[in-house]
Amino acid sequence: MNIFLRELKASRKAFLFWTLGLFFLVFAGMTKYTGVAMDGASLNQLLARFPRVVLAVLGISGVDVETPGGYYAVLAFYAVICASLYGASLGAGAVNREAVDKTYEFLFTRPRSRAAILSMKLAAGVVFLLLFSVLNYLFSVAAIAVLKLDADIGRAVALFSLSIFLVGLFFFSLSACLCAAARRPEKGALYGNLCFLAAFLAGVVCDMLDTPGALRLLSPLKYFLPSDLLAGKLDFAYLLLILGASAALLAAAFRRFGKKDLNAVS
Amino acid sequence: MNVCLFELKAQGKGAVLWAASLVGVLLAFLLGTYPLFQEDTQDILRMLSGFPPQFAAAFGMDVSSLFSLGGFYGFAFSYIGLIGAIMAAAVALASFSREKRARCTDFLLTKPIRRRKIFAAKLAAGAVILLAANALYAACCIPILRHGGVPGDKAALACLSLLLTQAVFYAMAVLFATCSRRVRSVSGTAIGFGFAGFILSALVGILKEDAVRFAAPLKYFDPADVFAAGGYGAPYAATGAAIILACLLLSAVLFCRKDARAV
Repeated sequence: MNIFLRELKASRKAFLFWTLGLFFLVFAGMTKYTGVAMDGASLNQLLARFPRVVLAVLGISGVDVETPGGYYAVLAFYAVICASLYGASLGAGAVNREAVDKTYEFLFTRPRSRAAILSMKLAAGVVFLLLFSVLNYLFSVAAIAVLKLDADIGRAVALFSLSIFLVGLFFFSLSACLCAAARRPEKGALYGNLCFLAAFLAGVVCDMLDTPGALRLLSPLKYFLPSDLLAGKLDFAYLLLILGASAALLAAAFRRFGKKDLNAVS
Repeated sequence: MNVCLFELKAQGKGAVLWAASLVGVLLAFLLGTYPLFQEDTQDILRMLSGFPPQFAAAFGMDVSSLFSLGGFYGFAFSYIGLIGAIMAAAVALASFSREKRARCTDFLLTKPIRRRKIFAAKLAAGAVILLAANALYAACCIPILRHGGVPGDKAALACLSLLLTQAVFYAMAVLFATCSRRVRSVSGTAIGFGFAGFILSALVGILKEDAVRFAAPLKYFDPADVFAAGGYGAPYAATGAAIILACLLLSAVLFCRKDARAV
């Protein structure tokens, strides 16, 4: 428990920083929603006939930005990016922090097993990630209320926040696993971040294809489609996939971390 | 000189990979996606010609120029610029936080060489890496744009966007690395820099407010401006240049005067 509390305390500054960014994103983004624009219906009919690559270039991606939900979905995508990056940094921090700060001997000579210490650290990371998505929900609902937007998207906002947590959790587990497996701490964090970048680019390619097919599997950012979330659905298959993958990655992280050579002075 | 060579050696392999991925993404967009895009746009232009002109106006600009190779490059640059920004920030953070990470600031600073020379050497190493990567990028990019019918001066300016954007991120990351007590993860911080810029650029697009663009470093030297107006938007380019100068000067002063922390 002491380790858990210590971890929460040590990372609260970074959490504050990420939360401020999220706050800015949600509030600044929502101010500009103006509701119905010029004869939307006929324009959308026209757009529906465009191929996806053209829509991607025009900056329109599958949702109708003139409805409040569609507009929110655009902002939520950037919140997912934030959560993934934050998740990756939390995962790397949980495994790497003592190595980077060269304080291995201090912590790992205490009478707790490595697995116990790692689980405390990971639990603190999950708490931060959970708070991040809860705050995303609260900020969004508050923004809609404060700006008096005529939008009834509470359920969709909740689903978006849940998807933000799940995607963040995946990159959290991935990054923790890679850091536990890598011999040098910085390499592990680097691989985790590169995986995110690759997943992001795969998502961009997904947006440009009419039928992404298996490519979507490579990009967790595209597991939960805004059109599904707005309709009040969470894709069950992808939910299982992301939870299963996260669990497997975390289990691998524990196994590798238990056998890791902790050379603090290198 | 030794400092500079040491940095080049330490970062050489990574820099080659970064440059290769920049060129790879460029080729994927211009050679892989553009031909498909062009086919599709022909149909749309035919379709649009049957509609009243207000429809085309709804896209905010001239549709045929948006559908040209130049317009497509402007779109691709939002991703190429993102990768370039991450690279520039990573190069700066790696070299300017190296001693802080390894806890050997005293080792470097007690050598018989002035601090400003160390700063200059590290700066030069980063500049060499960025310039080399951009030379490779331009060697691939300019011929493709020229081949697609873009005039030479515009092609060159559009390519230069990458170098100038990278310079902005390089300078900001140098300042960050000089100021911060320690950088825990170079890659994490660098990717944060890049995506912060990317999200700010996206907000410019969402908010459609010109003032926000001053806060979006990826948009200071926007190739879309080059194709639309023939040059960079002067106020934004000036902001970018001012940020580069201010960050580098401030970091130079700080680097030369800051207390070296005892381990």
